Amino acid sequence: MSKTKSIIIIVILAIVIVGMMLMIFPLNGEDSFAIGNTNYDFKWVSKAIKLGLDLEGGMYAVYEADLSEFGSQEEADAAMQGTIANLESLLFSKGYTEATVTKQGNDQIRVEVPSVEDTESLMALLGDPAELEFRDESGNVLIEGSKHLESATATLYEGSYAISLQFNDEGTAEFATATTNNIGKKISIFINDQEVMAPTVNTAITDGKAIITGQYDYKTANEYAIKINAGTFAVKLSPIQTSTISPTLGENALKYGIMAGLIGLAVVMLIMIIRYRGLGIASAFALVIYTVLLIYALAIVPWVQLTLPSIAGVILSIGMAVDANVIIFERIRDERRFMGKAIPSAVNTGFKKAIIAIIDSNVTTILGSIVMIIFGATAIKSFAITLLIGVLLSMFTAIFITRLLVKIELSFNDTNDLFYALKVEEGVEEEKGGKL
Amino acid sequence: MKNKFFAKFDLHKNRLPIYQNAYYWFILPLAIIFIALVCGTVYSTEGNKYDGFANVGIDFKGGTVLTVEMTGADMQGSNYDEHVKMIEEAVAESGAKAGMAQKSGDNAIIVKYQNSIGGTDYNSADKTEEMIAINDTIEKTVVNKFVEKYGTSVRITANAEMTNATASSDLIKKACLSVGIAILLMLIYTAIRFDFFSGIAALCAQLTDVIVMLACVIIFRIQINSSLIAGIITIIAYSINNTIIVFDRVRENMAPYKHKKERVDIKGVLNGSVSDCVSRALLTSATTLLTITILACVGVQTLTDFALPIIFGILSGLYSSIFIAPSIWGLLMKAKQNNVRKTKKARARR
Repeated sequence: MSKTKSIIIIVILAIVIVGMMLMIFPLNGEDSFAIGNTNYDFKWVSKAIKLGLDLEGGMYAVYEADLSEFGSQEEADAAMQGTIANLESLLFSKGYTEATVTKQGNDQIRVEVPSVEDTESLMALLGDPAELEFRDESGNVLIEGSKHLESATATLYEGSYAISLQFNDEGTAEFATATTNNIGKKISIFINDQEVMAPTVNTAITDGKAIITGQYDYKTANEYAIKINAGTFAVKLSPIQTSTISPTLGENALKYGIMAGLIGLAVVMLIMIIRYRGLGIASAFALVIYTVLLIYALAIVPWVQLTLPSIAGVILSIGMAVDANVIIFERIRDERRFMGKAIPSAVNTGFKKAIIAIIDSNVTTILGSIVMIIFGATAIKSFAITLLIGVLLSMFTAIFITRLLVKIELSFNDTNDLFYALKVEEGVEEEKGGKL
Repeated sequence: MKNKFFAKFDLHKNRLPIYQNAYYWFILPLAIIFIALVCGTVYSTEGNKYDGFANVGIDFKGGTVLTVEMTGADMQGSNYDEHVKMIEEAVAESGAKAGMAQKSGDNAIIVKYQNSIGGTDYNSADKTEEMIAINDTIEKTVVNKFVEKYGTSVRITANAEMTNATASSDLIKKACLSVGIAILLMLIYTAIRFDFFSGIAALCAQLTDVIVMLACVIIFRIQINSSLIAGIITIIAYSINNTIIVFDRVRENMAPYKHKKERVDIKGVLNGSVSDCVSRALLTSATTLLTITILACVGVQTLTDFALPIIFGILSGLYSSIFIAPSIWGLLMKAKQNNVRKTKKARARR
């Protein structure tokens, strides 16, 4: 690489990275800035990162369950457990991967949801239970939402939105019998005792799926879906208390987490520079670029909900980013020390040999995090996503950015052992020349 | 090239004696596990201040949520810390230990605590009545403390409700399943990219790390809650990373033997490979440890509880990648070599 080319790359990199850094966090602490007499609102990147219940707080609601219709305590307990499971999956499907649902006392359910700020949106999330019924022409109830439905979702159907129903096993069987018995007749669908549609059955439906159409827009369809879902709960719930809560880890946890990360990063850079000098400087800059890219990735990828465990994921991936650099530099050292290669070719061979090790060690972590994203429970998923993003980025920066930066350094100086903290072992013949 | 390669080997005068001492490296992890078992047994006997084998948190066992609400004076203003302290004292008077306090709404503080009073676990169904009585006492103590401070002009309500575990058995089941599948895939990958013995050795190293980490959690009575699950997964991901770097060197140093009939110098390959990686392993573990240690030391209890197991895990990961995994690989290789020799001899005899 020529010196001119190196300088151009440095300038472009610096402008892009500094520009990206300035957009992360408002230096004056405010959400808008003035140009002339106008204030411009600005969405800072750091604000776009969703935080979990443990770092940001949210709202809680306590529901009282009506257990009067249950004969025994066992039946009531089973119904409560079912309802808790339903609420959990409902919240997860809405993207609140960090919400918690617990039984409180004998007949109460406590729901804690992160990132929600007012009662209205919490209620919109959990819903006012609605009853769903399918009746035949003579008014007999064939299907009941609370018994037979697994889930209801809003879907796009023939140009407008509709409510898609999925029955549970029992419901699928009942629905198959109901449609078989009523071919050519009408089945009416009631939501809270109001008829919403009455389609004629053409064939028996055995796959346990049904769609309620009504030319809805998305909002209405979704509202119905939420209400029907809430109506599938085995117990009748009524909200008795809602309020905001501060972070479960205390208000300082996030601050200290970020602080620990920054101090750690600074010390790591220092260690790298002390041990590897010129090469260390390249890796320090690569780490800065890595951190900036990571913050952007966390803000952009939709499923990230930053919690304490995911902060560990971030710290771990910083560790892996450094690790990749160390592996490369140790290889470069070995090439120079034992093979006596000229610095540029030592760098080249060092990178080549190290990349195999870096890829092998990172692929295992990537495999692990993908499996956890697919199979893991809610709390583990968001951690695994953070880890995956971190590892992919750390591989990218180690393999491309560090290499680019070292090459830039080499274009200015490719012979000075002292600057790169390299040496040739005594008795090893030194190679002359060698270009990149 | 070949000469240079062997020259490189000779230059390593002070190689680590990993292979010679293969069996001894297992002593330390086994000792830690043994200590954990002893500690756990002592903790679970009657008559001390501990309530069981391990310190299981409210996420897994359930506990009590105490909501203290005050109207008439500022609950969350400048006196917030003092209010939290008053509540914590009230909880402590009954023998329970309050966790992190949370602000709620404009005028309430929420504190959660384990249903573990003076070394007895009150979560079981037959102790529910007793726990409710204890909670009543705590409610009254809290109200009295606030009335003492602010007089009767303010209205104080304290409401303690027992909750069950937030981390459902579903979460634990899914966590175990996903970790199991992940480890299996890692084993397959390592076996393909390296050799089957490396895969087995890396798997053993991972398991060692997890067990040692859990042992330390038991010994130091760190609270087991859902973030520990994330900690364990973190360590599984981190530990294999370290081990693979070692096996990458082993793979490289084994390359010259690939097409030759001569017997593999297991000792030379192993000790040389590990020695090559030691400084790198120390350096990278140290940098990660440093950041985690800062997190553990900032003084927030929940952060410390979270960071400590990870610290133990990283230390164990360092140990197992240098000592355990290569030893297991070496022992397996030796067993295979002996086997081959035996069959050769048997064939010769025939």
